Amino acid sequence: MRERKAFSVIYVEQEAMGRKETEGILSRFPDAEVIVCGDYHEVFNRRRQSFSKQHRAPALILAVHHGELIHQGSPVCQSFREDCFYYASSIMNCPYDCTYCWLKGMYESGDLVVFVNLEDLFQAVEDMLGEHPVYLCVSYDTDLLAMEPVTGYASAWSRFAKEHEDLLIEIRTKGYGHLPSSMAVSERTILAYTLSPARAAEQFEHRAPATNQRIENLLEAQKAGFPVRLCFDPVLVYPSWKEDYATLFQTLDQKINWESIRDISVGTFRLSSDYMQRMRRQDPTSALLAYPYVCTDGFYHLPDTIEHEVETYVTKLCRDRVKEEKIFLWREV
Amino acid sequence: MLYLFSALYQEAAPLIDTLKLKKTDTARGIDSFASEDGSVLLTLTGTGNYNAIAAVSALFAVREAKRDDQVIFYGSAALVRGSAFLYRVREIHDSATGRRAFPDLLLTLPLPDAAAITLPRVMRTRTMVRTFAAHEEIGESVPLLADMESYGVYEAAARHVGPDQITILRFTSDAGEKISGRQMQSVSEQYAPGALEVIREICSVGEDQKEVKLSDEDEALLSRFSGWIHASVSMNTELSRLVNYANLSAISWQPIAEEYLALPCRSRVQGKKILEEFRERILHA
Repeated sequence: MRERKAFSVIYVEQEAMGRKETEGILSRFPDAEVIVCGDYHEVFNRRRQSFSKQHRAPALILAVHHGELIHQGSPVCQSFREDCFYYASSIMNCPYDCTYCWLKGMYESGDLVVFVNLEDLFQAVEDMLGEHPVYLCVSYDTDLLAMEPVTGYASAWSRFAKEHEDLLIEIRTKGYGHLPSSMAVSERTILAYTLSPARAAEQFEHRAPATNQRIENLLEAQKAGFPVRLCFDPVLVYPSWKEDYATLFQTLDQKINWESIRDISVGTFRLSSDYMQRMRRQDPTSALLAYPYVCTDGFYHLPDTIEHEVETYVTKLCRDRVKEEKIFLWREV
Repeated sequence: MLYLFSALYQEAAPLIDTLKLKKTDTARGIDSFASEDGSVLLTLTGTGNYNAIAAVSALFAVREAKRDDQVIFYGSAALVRGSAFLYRVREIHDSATGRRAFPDLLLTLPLPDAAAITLPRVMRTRTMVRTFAAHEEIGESVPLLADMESYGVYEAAARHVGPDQITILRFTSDAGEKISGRQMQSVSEQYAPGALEVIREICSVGEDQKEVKLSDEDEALLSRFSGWIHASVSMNTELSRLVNYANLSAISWQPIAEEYLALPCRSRVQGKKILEEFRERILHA
């Protein structure tokens, strides 16, 4: 007897059966146990699930997305001064396992949901583009590039963005193997790499590629012609954070051309109190979650003096390398 | 803690004998059998969904379920499609309500998985086949079982434990024909050893026990420090959180606390200032 492998169990909504994306995904897991359910909530929203146990080897749930498909961008997320800031979820949950990830507070389940009606999402975006330009973040609830071998959605989104002049999308990622050759290069697909110091990545970002790998990934993306964004968000605060971030920037100095970076996002830890309580219950041994954050208006964040210190320190590291207008703090000052 | 359930004594008898369980009192109206060390409790639910729900609920009304408990139902089912075997039930369809339940399948067991439909009453083969025909979403390659308790046991247990803590094991006893108690026990005896092996494996996986505990010395020091700063309830909460963080981050908070304890602290107002300093020193350690 042993623990199951990731995606060795696949739940499929009755409505999702027979669809092109469903068949494509199932064909990549010929040995998976396929179980039909009526509605993905029957599996994804069961009571008292163990996120950590499930997330070690998650099941996949293939479903059809109904209702509101595009959402207004959150005030705790950076809009990069783009008007019409939205986000869309074609996948819920992430294959990586970062200690601080808000998904652990938001979702009861450690399994991943893939919505197989991407064409409906595209239609919704087109309807919106009929009224105004759209800046759309498509990889908030997941790591779309990490899921590319399963879904091909990053490529689909990049092709869609290339075909629509008034659409700008961001695909945020912590890295992957190699940039998929099926990705369509254009100025309208921003690849945004979340970077953490090597020590922090090893300690807090389980299963995600090491920092060096992510740097290689972003260089590959730049070489291919994609605009690349660097995200130091959240800046992780732990005993040696200052030295480690300095080392990270020194490493970047040796590897990348700062001039060619599109922009940089800097953010400190912030998390809704409901999510925090759930995450602390799930993982009481996490130093990062046990940090004495302060709760203001329902959100946990660093104490003001520390927050200011962190923002000042990291933005200075950025300012020493790029122009001010390329640096975006998670909240507009 | 292992909570076993079976509908009938004849199904449970081999487990009771092998695990040397003795009759015990748990809750009124249900029959339970416990191991000597109290780590295993087997409860008879009686047949049918309503009895199953009542028995499971009655038990957990008097027993607080914990994160490392396992709930396992072991019992018979009628075989509608597939081979006679011991199965793990991966999906349960309630024929009365049309609802479904899905226990987590986190482990690869040396058992085949099957779908089960929980019926409201004993049905003969032809009626069962017609009932199953209505569940066309269950693939033709999936073994199908008919039982009368799985859905009730699952739903009642799910109010107390997670889907990763519930396993339904069903051995096939018949194909809808009548079966005597003696025959039932005989069939159960065939499958019980395999079931027990699986049960032991499930229980051995255990829970990700994540617990943070202070040593006795640290508890004592924390208590002294708390008293010394005249801590209020909220100050104590903050102090505990700081110490917890310091321990998890391998920051030595003890010398800092001892340093302060060597000085006077006359009031809570002064204590608050010291707590602020203590926090800054931990956060900048």
